Amino acid sequence: MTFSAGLGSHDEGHVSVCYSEDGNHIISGGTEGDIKIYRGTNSTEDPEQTFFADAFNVTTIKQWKDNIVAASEGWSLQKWGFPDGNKSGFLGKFSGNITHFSLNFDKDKILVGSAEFIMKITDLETEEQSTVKGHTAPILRTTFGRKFFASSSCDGTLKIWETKSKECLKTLEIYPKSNDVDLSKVRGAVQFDEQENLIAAKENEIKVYSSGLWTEKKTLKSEDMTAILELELSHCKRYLVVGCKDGTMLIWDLHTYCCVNKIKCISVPSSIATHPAEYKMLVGDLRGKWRECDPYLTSEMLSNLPENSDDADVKTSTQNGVQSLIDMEAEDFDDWGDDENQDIMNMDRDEDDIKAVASRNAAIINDDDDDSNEPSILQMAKLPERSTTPELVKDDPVQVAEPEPEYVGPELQEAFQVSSSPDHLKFRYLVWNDVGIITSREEEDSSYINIDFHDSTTHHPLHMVNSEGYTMGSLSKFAYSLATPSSDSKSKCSKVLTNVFSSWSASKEWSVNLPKEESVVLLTVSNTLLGVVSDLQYVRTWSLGGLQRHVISLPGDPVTLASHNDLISVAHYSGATLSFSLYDTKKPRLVHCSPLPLTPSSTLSWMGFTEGALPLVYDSEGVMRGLLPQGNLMWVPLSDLKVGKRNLSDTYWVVSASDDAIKCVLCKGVTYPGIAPRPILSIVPHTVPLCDSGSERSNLEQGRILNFVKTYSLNKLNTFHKECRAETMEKEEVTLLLKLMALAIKNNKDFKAFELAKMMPTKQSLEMASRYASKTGKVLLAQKINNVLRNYEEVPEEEDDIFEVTEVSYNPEPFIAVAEPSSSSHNSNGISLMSKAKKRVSQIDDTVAPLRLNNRPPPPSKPEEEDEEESQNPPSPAPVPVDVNPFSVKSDEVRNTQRRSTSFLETIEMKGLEQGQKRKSLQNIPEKSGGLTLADLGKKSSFLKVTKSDAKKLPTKKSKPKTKKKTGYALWFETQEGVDPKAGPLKWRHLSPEEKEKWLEQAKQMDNKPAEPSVSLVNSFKKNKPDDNLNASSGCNDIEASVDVPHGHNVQNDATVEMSNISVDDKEKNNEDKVTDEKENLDSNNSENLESSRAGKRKVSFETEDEDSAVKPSKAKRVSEKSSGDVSTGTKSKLAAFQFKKK
Amino acid sequence: MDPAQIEFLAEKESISILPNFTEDKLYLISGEVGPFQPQVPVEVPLWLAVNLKQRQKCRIITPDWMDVDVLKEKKAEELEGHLFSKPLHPHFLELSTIILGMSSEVKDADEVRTLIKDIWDVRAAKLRKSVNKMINHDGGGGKPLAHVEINNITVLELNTIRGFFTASLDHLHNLRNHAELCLNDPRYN
Repeated sequence: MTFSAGLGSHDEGHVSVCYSEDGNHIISGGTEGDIKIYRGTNSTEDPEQTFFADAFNVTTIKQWKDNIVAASEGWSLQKWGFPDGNKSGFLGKFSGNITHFSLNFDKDKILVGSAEFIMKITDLETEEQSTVKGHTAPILRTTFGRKFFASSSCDGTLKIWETKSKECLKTLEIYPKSNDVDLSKVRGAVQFDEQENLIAAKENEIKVYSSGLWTEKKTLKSEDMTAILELELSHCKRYLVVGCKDGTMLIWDLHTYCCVNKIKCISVPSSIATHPAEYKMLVGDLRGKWRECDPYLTSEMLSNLPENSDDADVKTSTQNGVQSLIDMEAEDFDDWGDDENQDIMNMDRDEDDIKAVASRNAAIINDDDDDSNEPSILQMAKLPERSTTPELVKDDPVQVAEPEPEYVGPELQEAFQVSSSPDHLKFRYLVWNDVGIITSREEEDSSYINIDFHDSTTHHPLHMVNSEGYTMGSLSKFAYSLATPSSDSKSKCSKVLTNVFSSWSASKEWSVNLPKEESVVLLTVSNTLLGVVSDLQYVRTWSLGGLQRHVISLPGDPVTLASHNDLISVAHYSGATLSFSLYDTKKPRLVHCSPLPLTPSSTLSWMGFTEGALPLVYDSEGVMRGLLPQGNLMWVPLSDLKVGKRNLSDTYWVVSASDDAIKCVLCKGVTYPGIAPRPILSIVPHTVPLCDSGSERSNLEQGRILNFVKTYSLNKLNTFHKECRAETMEKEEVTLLLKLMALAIKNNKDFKAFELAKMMPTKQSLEMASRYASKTGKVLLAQKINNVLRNYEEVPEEEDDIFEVTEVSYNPEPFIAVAEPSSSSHNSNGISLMSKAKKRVSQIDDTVAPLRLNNRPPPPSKPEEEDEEESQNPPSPAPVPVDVNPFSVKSDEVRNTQRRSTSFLETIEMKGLEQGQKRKSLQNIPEKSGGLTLADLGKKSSFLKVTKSDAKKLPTKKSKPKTKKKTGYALWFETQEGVDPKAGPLKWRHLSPEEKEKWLEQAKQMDNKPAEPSVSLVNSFKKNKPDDNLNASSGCNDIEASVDVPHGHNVQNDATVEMSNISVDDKEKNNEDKVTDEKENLDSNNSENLESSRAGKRKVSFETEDEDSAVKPSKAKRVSEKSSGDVSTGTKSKLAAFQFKKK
Repeated sequence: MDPAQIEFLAEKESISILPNFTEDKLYLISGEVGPFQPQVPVEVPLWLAVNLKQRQKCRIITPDWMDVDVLKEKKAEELEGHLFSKPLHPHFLELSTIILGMSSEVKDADEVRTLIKDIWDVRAAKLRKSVNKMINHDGGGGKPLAHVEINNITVLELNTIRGFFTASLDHLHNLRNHAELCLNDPRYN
């Protein structure tokens, strides 16, 4: 038993087929109105004849003698000659469509049913015509026996008529009623068998009405028989072919009323024709094709078939039929995909199965007929199986037609591209994001794709013909990408085209085809990668250049996809829950995976990232959520757009979102915005759904939450932005907290105010809080805050941990921007955090500056005029700065900055001094002004000589990894001021071996202790002040002291500073005198005291920092202003003058 | 003042644009403008908008009142009362002329243009009518009205009649005085 491949080339739709009388030809008619005559079915050759039926939609076609008659939408029944296809006349005209016609057994009369409720019988010989009226709706099907004819109609009835009198003998209401043939749920197929018993198809069963009495004789039922469309009798009229909607063909033996064969055909039958001599049949389908089944009986049945079907050996045939029940493989369509091919594979059932099914089919015969006088019952009585066939009662569970109620899960959301309009629209957005808009326009003959960039500097607008049929698009600052899914027929691969328009290379475009069985579902392109989700649930990523990077498997159906640089986020189902996965493709790993929080009974409608890589989702109920690193990554609602919405039917179509606001299009009454005129973006600021929203307090509270978001986003920005924004961020936080506190104080909520004060990020702000509290008369509160202030150092900064988690999870690279080696030692994890570091720097900037000036040893031996000038200088107006407290810094922090600035200036100085050629070298100094000032002053003042001499010894500190190793000679040479470089080696040779040894040792030491400060310096200090300790009067140590003095000792401390300044003046002079001595004693003091070494270093740093401030005069000025509150006026004015001079 | 001067004044009115470039805030004498982000609406003075538009750096967002429905409503309102209704914008004619001349993106531009012209005509007619009424009105004792109050008049409208109106009032005044003289002059009696 084989099915031929689908043949015929009619247009998609109903095909009616028939065999020629001799069985050698096949005639088919399609919806386009063509009738084709084929010779046999063995070859796929073209039809012998093709002619037009004068009207579309050939519904029925018959051939006998030399006639072909076809019913089509033309209101007449036409006749053509066979096999030439020449028109040979009409067989009746109607005033409506002809729905069906049939020939009687003798083929001398034709019965035509029409859509205008009537039927006509035409005698083919006499051409005598008579009209049959009786139905009250269009005729569905007709059948013509000898003495009787029958018709089914849309009025729900099946009428049986007598041919002679054309009177209605019986009306059976067995069909659902309908208005038209097209709308009818049943096709109402009817047939007469050899004994003119009427066989009528109901929906899932076949009724057999006994001839003459027209009572129900049999009901044929089978589990496999559902939604019966077609009935056809074999040429011998013994077998009934039943075509069902699911493509199943059942062959019933009308003698035994057993199902003898089951054939699975893949297509919905539109018409069935049986061969006039053999057990072959044609099946026309709804795709414009037909195929032949040869034979439709099993081979065993065929071999056992009696010559004369009237003398059927029923028993044999039935047994054969029972055993031969198998599925058959149908040959597929030419254009049928491989996938579907598998669905119709032959199923190899084992024996038991076959028997079970067969017996079931055989058993489902209901004998409703109690009338034993019925003529046909005699034949039935002959059947020996009748007694052996187990009879089933009607209400047997097997027969219950009702399908079991299936569990219907929650409706899963379909995959969608972010910010695109649905693809059934002719004018649609493929994407609209921060970079630009990709639109697709489908016009009559062709379709186009337009890419417009918001920023005209990104790229010029692009316009292209969409010949490939791209339906998905994505756009980033550097590239755009388009994709097409594989077509239905799978003939075309799914293709992804990427154009890196920002690339400098000549070939900017590349495309890739997905494997044949895979089709693109979602597409995204970021600044660094191209991401694709396919229907096989793979996430595939490419670099922008086209390098395949990863293939990740998703646990469920994808819903949407977004990307930001190396991060790629996918919303997908895991089971029935919508989940969110965030992958970092740079270091391929799953960063985060969690069920997606959505407002109940809402769907996901947008997903994306902020500029700072904060993942966001937006649902159809208008809530935007962000994945915040509070704790261990959690979803936080940032915005509820439903709150401020005026009209319920308005929706926001989100385009992008930032830390502050959502960019969206307000769609009034629709879900998607139209293309032209281009809608204007609305910028809706985030409104965190806080309680008591709209009040001043909740606005401030919201400000804090959003500020946190911004601080987070900050981490992702580049260093420059970070520096700029971190300060504003913190200021913002302090302002918000202060405002909230003010509000709380106003409302007499002291405890809340205290809570807020405790949240202050810096000591300064805490002081401000305390000051504010005391100003408003909240003595107790101020006292409490002061207590906190006193214990400030002990307050652990919990935030840090959170950020560390974030860092580790999002960006594994530690920040280098502000991080100092020492700060990493402070931070146990070794990862210094941007925010913290920044915080410190900002503290330091404000607080160290006054310190520097406070403790800076004033130039001891300045010319007299200078001093006079200074004293004449009026003290600068310097408003008392509120937020500057020189003591609010931890001592080690001070050290950090100092060390840093030291090293910075040191390199500058050394560059110049090393070469011994000041002028030339100074030009190489990056900060020329500073260098020059230094040089100039060095000539004049003895103070600066000290600096210089100190600086000369600084190479020790240069023993950082990047600097070259110093030889003993180099060290020595540096001390030899004014020595001609050429003469240097000569002099060195004249040195005593001991001396050489000493220098060499020193150089070695420096190499071993790269981080240690200058040994020589240390020694110099040691020498000068052998009994040095922290409380000594040395200027350097005073600095240490002043830093460590607890708060509340301002006045005393200022005094100390001043005094120390004076004392340093003297000391400097001493230093100057003893420079030469130092050199000699270097080796004797090798074991340096850490404390004093630090002090020594401090000293240098202060001096150099003075230079620093000279380099940046404006900054120095500001600093001096700031410090004026704490420094005594005299010092300050001197200082100012000094700075001024330098400038 | 000539209309050009009034147009110059009108160009100070702010209007929303959609820039297609990125730029920080601009500090103008009239105040800060910006920052400019691509495709994000921002309010700028009209002159700047015109300049940017000429350089194809922005799209001008048509003001709300330059909408057919709004204008039709306004026209109906204007036709109804005999007093001036509040104008859609104090510089509506200037603005609409500039914008319609610049931007091809105005929806139903022709209709908008016609409607604005209609409104202008109605208002101009009212103005002439009221002037006529004022001159002919007897302020009592055969003297003309000392003053009238006209609300909701735009600068441009006022300017169209100012020159002529003040001059003609002068003339009238002279003539009236003259008439009095004549009446009293025995030579003419």
